[in-house]
Amino acid sequence: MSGKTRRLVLFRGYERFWHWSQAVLMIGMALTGFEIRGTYTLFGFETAIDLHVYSAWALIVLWVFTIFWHLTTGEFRHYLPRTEGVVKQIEYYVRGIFLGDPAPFHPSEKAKHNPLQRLAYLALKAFMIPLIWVTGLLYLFYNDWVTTWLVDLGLTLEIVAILHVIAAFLMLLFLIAHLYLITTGETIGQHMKAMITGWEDVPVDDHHDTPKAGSSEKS
Amino acid sequence: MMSVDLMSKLLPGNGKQLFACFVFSVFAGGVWASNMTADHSQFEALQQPFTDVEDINVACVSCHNQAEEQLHDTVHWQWTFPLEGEAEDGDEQLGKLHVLNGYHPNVVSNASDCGSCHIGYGLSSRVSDVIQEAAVDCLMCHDTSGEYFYNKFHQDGAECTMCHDDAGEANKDRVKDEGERFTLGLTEIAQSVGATSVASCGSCHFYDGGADGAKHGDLDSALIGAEFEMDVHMSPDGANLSCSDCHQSDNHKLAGSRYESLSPIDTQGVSALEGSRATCVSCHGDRPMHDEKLNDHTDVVACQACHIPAYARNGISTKTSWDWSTAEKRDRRRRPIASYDEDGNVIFASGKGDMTYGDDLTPMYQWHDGKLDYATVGETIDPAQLTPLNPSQAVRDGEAKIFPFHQFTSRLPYDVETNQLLPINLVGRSRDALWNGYDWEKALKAGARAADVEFSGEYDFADVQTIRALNHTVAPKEQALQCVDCHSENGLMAAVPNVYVPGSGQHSWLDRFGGLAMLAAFFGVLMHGALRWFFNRRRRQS
Repeated sequence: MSGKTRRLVLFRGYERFWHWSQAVLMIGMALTGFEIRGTYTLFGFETAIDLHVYSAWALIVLWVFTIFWHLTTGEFRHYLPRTEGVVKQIEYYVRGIFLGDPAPFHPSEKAKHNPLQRLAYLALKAFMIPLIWVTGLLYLFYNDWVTTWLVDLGLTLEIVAILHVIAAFLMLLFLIAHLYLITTGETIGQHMKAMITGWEDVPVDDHHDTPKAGSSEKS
Repeated sequence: MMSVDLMSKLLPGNGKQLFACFVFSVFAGGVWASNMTADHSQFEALQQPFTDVEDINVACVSCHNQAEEQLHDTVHWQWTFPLEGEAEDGDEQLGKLHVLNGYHPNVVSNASDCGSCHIGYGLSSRVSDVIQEAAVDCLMCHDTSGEYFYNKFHQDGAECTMCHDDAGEANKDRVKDEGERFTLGLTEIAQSVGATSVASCGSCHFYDGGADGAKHGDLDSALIGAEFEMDVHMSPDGANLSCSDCHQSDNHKLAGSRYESLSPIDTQGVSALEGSRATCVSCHGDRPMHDEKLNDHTDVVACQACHIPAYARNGISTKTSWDWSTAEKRDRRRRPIASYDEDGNVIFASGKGDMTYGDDLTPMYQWHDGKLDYATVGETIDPAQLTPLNPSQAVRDGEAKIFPFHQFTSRLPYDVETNQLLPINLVGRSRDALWNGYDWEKALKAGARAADVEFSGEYDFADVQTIRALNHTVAPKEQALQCVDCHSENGLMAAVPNVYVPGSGQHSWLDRFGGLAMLAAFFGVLMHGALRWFFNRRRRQS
């Protein structure tokens, strides 16, 4: 690697704890969720439901803390969408990555996600997760709303279930893309290492918040 | 007030109702039976050498002077529902006297023999509209010796075939095993009268449909001293309840009727003063389980659906089909014949045709609001189709529940010109009776004449189906249905409309679409990765 690099703490302790516990809980919920749906038998229906519900409550507690963390640390800024650089990033994934072009983006304190990541995580946090939560809670508390005005609007358990499963499929699609894209760093393991250790070596640039393009050329 | 608070704390939820029912049944049932305030053997009216059963009635009503009038105003007397004077405009006349079923299809001209189970002293040979008020046979229900109904049925001219498919042949061994009957005289029977019991109610309700347990599937003689697994309520090892603990009486009118069942729609427990309504909920409330998710089911699933996981579990078979069309067939000497399966069940009898039986059967589940749509004598049908004789028209409406049923199919005679189901003249001394002359044409002509139904003389047989709601033989909770019995592909609720059962009958389009999207994503990233590897390698080589 040419050029100077500096060690940047990209993911703080709480963030890594959040990420990995969320990963375990969500994968567990996918496993138990599709068992409840009848796709396969793994834990047994009753156990699967218990695990699914307990994981849901654990995840809700985790999220309450995480929302608090986002707000108090200002970390939510990393997920505000930007149009700048999106096209470049797409071009990179479609073309540049094959030709060995330098990555167009490097993380910094001010922006630790590339513009496409920002959009993807925003979609996850602002759309997919709320969708799976709202439908999941409606599913869980079905008996408490089945006698209310929600039914007059045409809401049924079946609709809730369908939306919940659609959200689950979207999350799985996200997971596939997510798992693949972590291999697209400087090295195959770079991103993974960052999420485990918290830090990443980024090229030093005069401009603080616009990472230097082309600095990651292999020597 | 303090005691009420304390009771709520000690007995949360349905505990209070169970306690109330317990208190009531102790007063109404248990204590009464063993500790009555009257010893009938000391009553002067009963200290006489009875030779005629009707004299016993005279003695009973000399003290119980309101009883007969009360009984005339019950379904047990009238065999009609709603009761005389209680029908509202538009109510169809139902009850044993009017409806048609797939077992012994109709009363009408067979009344004298159907009358062996009537609580009077015999019916006239033809009854079609009304059963006239007459002396009530108190011992039918209040005999405690267990002998009276043997006297009544066997000596009072009842047709054997009403209770024994083969006119008693199959029961000969049982008679030998059980020893002598008729050891008590009428006076002793009269002096030992008391509360009704499982045995006294069962003397009729266990044997209808041609044999023990034949008709109901959830009522048979094994309930007398039942094992816990057979029925947690009636077993001495369980709640040790008698029929009347749930079917409590008000002026001899008993709670609970299959013509207007409260069980599927009841949602409130009752207080001790009210007594049970012959519904699960009246004692247990509608959220009686420890698991709240299970309690959440009770808005659409009746208790019976899970807690009667199978029926005819008691080692006594119930009838599953009855093909009347093969009746008539006799041996070469024109004598009636009968044949049996290995359990001793009659599978063919000249008077009845072919019958099949089942044990440990899985119920059929459907929406039920307590009412069924009964066919009556002379019903018009489409003979090309299987005709439901008493279908449930209930739909999911917030009140109806998913309920378990015993399903029974039979082939009944109909008039090929009018497509009307024909009443059969089964009994009597004339050759017009099917069980005497074994001649369908004559039996149908006589039946039609008695019921005022037109008959062209041309008949055939059509498939019909009778269903019976299952309420008894509640199993121990460990044997109740498990989640996956319904929550799985093709689970037990698969055929029930308008209910979404997670895990059962899922939307295949959604799974296909989601699966395809995941496959596409997977192959997409795989391709992308492969291309990265390929170009990377080429770059390094060049």
